[in-house]
Amino acid sequence: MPKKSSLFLRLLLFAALLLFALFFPDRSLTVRVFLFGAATLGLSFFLSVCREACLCSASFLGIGALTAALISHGNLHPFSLFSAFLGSVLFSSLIALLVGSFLLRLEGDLFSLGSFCFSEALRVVLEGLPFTGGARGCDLACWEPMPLSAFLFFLFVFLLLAFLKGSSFSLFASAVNDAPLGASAVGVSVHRVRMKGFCLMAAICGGAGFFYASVSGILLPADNAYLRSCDLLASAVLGGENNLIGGLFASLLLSVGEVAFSSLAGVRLLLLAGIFLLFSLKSGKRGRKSL
Amino acid sequence: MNFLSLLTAALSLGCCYGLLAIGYGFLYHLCRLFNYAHGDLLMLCGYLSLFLSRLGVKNGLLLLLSPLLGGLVSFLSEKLVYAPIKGAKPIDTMLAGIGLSFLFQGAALLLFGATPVSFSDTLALSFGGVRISAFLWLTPLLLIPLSLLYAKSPLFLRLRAMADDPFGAVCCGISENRCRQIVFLFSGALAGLCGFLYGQEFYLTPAIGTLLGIKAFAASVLGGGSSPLSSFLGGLLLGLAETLLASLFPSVFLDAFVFLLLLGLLFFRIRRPLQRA
Repeated sequence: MPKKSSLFLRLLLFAALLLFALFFPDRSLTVRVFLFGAATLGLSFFLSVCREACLCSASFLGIGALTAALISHGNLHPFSLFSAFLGSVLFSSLIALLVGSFLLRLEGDLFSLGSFCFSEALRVVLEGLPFTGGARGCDLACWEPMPLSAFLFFLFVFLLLAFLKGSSFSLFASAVNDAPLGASAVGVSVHRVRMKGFCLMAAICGGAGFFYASVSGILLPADNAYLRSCDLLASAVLGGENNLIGGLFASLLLSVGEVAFSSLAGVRLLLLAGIFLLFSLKSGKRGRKSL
Repeated sequence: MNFLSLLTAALSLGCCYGLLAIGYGFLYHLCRLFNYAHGDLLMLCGYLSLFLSRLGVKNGLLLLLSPLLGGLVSFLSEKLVYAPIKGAKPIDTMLAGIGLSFLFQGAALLLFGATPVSFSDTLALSFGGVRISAFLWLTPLLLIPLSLLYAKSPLFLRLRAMADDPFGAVCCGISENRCRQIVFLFSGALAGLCGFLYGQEFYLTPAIGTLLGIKAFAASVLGGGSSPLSSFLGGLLLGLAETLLASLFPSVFLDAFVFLLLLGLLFFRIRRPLQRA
């Protein structure tokens, strides 16, 4: 149970975010903050469940965006948009279920490598398919950015993950991470726990993809490939493992940074390098095992 | 393009993958480490060699300097990044590799720009109208002593002992840190040389490293990676398959083929299954 002061601070933060969603003039940037915030929280949750560096989170964002664009097909009726949102969440989860049944049997650097391969293979395939618009992208997502809906989606993700953090699933995840053999011995399925974390991350990223479609205009497969996954990973790492507020602020930095460094790709890469190196050196020294 | 030109192009690409795959094989089998930035090291060394070439350094001298540069950068990355986190969780090592990869890419982008560049004069030879790239004539010269060194030299015997049984090797007085440094030095030197040769044959851009690295790792896994020769053969096979398939099928799906191949290899050949009771 959070302390009263902490609860008050959180309420204050969400009130400020609501005001930001309602009144900030750049609607596109507002939606970006919330959608990347939600995706970062999803990835941060996966990091805490599996302790694996996933390099395909942006692929699910792309899958969600493309699914939403194809379902809505330019129809701006609220029911059509709601179906598009639901479709993006469900289809991303389904793909995660299929891919995860292979990928999650790998671990450590091999998992990261496998997720990278999936992400790049998907990009290449999408660039070659005619119905997704190929490398020139899909321009079917023509609805306006919806800051309030994006805020509500972010709030839902935040509350869901806060609930899961205090639930028995979180305990199972800790057990699976700390002692997989022990967890198996008491009947916890290691693969199932990892799969749930992976699918939930994919569903959140897919939902965020629906909002991404509205701000991007043309959906290019290359936009949601490896580099975007690294961006999300950097903000999850910067925000702290399973730290919901930290994830939000990191994604805020990411969204603003993406706009600020749009013409300075080299500087952006060096900043990402700094985040990854500092985090790995700090965390790696703490978790060293002796020979 | 006639068949002979196609074959030499395929073999050049295969040699490039093969040389890089040898470095990956050393790192993965002797240090149990996947160095994510190994491909980017190739790219960085390619750019540095090109920079020296434009300053007037001759190609013959660059042939010696590029492995030194690669070895030095690789040694420094081990000393400053990988050594402090030795024995840490795989996620930390992976993130360190990604960080190094971005560092090399960002530095190359800022210093040299994103425009594709290549060497103006090359070490390629020509016999009867057929162009023999530097990769083709240099790789066999390198591969034979390297294979002998790996199989017979006391240095590599110590490295293999460390990979087989680290605890036993330490008890016998072999230094684990020294072994890691030597492996990084060797693999870095190979990546450095490969970067120089790649710039002679193809175009350099800051983004090529990641893709080349992943393909070379696939080649290393394909070949088994237990010796330089097997890693090299894996690379050669991948290069041949990639070039020949590109001439038969739409090249847009070619990279997808390599990634799916690596996924299959990861799953069926080197999977470390999660421990279960």
